[in-house]
Amino acid sequence: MNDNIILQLDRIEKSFGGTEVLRGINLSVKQGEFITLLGSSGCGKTTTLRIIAGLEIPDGGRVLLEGRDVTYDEPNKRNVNTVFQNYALFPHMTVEGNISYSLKLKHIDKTTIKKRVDEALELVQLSGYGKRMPNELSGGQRQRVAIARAVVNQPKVLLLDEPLGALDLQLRRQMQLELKRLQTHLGITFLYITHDQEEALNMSDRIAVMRDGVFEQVGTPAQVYDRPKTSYVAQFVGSANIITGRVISQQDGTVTFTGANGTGLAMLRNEPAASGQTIEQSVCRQPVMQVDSGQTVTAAVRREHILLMKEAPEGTKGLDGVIKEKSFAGGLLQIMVLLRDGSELVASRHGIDSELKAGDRVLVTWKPENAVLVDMEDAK
Amino acid sequence: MNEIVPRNVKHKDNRRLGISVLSLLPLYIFTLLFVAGPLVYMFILSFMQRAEVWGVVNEFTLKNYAGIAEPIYLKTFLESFKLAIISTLSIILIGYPFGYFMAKLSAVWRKRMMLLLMIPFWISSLIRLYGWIIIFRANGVLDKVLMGIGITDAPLKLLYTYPAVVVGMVYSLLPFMIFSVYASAEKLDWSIIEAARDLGATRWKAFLTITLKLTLPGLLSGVVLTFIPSMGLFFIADIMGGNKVVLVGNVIQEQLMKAHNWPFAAALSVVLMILTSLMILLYRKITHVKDLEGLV
Repeated sequence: MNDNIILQLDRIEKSFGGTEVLRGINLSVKQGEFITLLGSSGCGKTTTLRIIAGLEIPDGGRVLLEGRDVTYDEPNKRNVNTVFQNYALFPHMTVEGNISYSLKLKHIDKTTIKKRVDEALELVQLSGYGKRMPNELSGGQRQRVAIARAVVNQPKVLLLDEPLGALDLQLRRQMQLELKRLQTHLGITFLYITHDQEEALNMSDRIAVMRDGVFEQVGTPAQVYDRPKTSYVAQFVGSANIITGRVISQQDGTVTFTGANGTGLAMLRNEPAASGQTIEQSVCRQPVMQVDSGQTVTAAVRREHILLMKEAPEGTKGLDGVIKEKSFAGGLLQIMVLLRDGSELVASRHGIDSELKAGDRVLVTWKPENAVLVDMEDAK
Repeated sequence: MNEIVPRNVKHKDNRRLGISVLSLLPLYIFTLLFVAGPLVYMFILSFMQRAEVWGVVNEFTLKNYAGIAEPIYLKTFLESFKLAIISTLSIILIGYPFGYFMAKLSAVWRKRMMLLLMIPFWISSLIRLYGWIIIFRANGVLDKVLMGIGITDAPLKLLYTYPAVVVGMVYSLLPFMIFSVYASAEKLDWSIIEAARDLGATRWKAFLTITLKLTLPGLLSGVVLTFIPSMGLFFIADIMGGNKVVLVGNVIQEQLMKAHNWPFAAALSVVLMILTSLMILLYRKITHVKDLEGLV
């Protein structure tokens, strides 16, 4: 398995003017993998990419490409190409000139260059656009040229820095599918950067959620979405609710805990993640966590899993709350509930309205299996 | 591309255009009177005859142009071209890197550099040239320093030599090159150069294929701004070269001010203008640059 690793980051550190941007990140990327660095702006994801490309030298750590240390190699000495955020097309060259740039530097003969440029243009569905200048193209077309220019060189790893950020939503969705198709077709390893969790979940084989220069969690989209390790990941990827409480009891893998101020009871399931995730068992396995009575725990429950009951059957465990307001956003009805301890959580429902009104008293519950323990020290 | 323009929008634009033309009218009149006017006058003058004592006689002649064909004047033209080429090349060698790296500085340092470059302009260029006399003359500042640290043991006698004239030209015209290269380089998207490096170009190759190509308009306008004046800046040749270096500018000045041969001076000027225009046209052809930075 180890010889399958094409790119390895080993304790990479980087500071800019005294600010630590990367705090020792480790990452192994396999041949042909589509891996996404997901994080909000300023988390260090672009710096990571620039270090891999050789446009930035890390303060500490190593970059290994096919097992070779390339940390201090010039950008032109690495078999890695980048699709830049603003495309960075050469404005004084035609589309063909842009795409053939790297081939001409290698002194490949003209007929081969022509053939490969045509292939690249066909790949991004821009055949016949070779003689155009970049400023005669639309944003989406420029995007495609940038991709063609980067893949024509057949790099070991293709780095993509928020390549769809400047496109409108519809085009972005279409390009997501195309990029995925392209990646499967070419078999090139993609390292993709985005702050859009939907994009990451949609395309990636693995996602590395980044925050303040460290990886919070690295895993498959399913792992990151269903089994977040930290409250940050739960909120950033699934916009989940975070509930803290004190453990009362534990039985058959179900933990019962009270709300922060003892305002009710809630439950969560403390057990290994569901099986059937064949990709990388080693990363996905989340061991049964050691939980003691009286310990403070944090659970993440996604909005759609929150149940609101006006009249709960006797003995139902849940937290007392009051409906605060309702709004329609993202195709779902969002119901904001104020808990007795002053914290708020959001439940989402299909449909445009519900019988619940602002001011209604409700019992907030969820199925134990829908609550995930996060921020556990030993989860790392 | 935008063929379809709604009628009312076009209307509005027309009105706006009318207003802008009106407001610019004084500028056009000024240009016509004080730039185009004298040029036309000079052109007409070059076909007239010199009067016995003062002024000109309104009689058509080609004698003035025939006079330029004399070897002594042809040689002067050649000399001027040579000096202009040497000066311009030196200015490119110093000014291009200067302007380029200035654009890479932080915003604060860019402003400071700009100010440093502007301050000398507050003093007359003539006075600044006298500064060079103090440095270059026999037993001047340069000689004293060089002899002091033992590099030379006798005065170099740099003043009133050809190199001194070149130094004077470079010194006087360098800021024009720096500013026009800077204007071009400042607009560069540095990520384009990173993209070239990423695609396999060495630093040097990326510079040649990307940076130089994209800053060529600035370099070219710098050449225009320095080449033309260096053919005619007669006072630099006078002050720095004594009377050893004679440029077309010196001949024109002599003919106009001392010999009072206005038509001949005018003819010389016309030929000089035509030659420099041809040079620029040729240069533009070679480099394929159509828009000059800040010019044309």
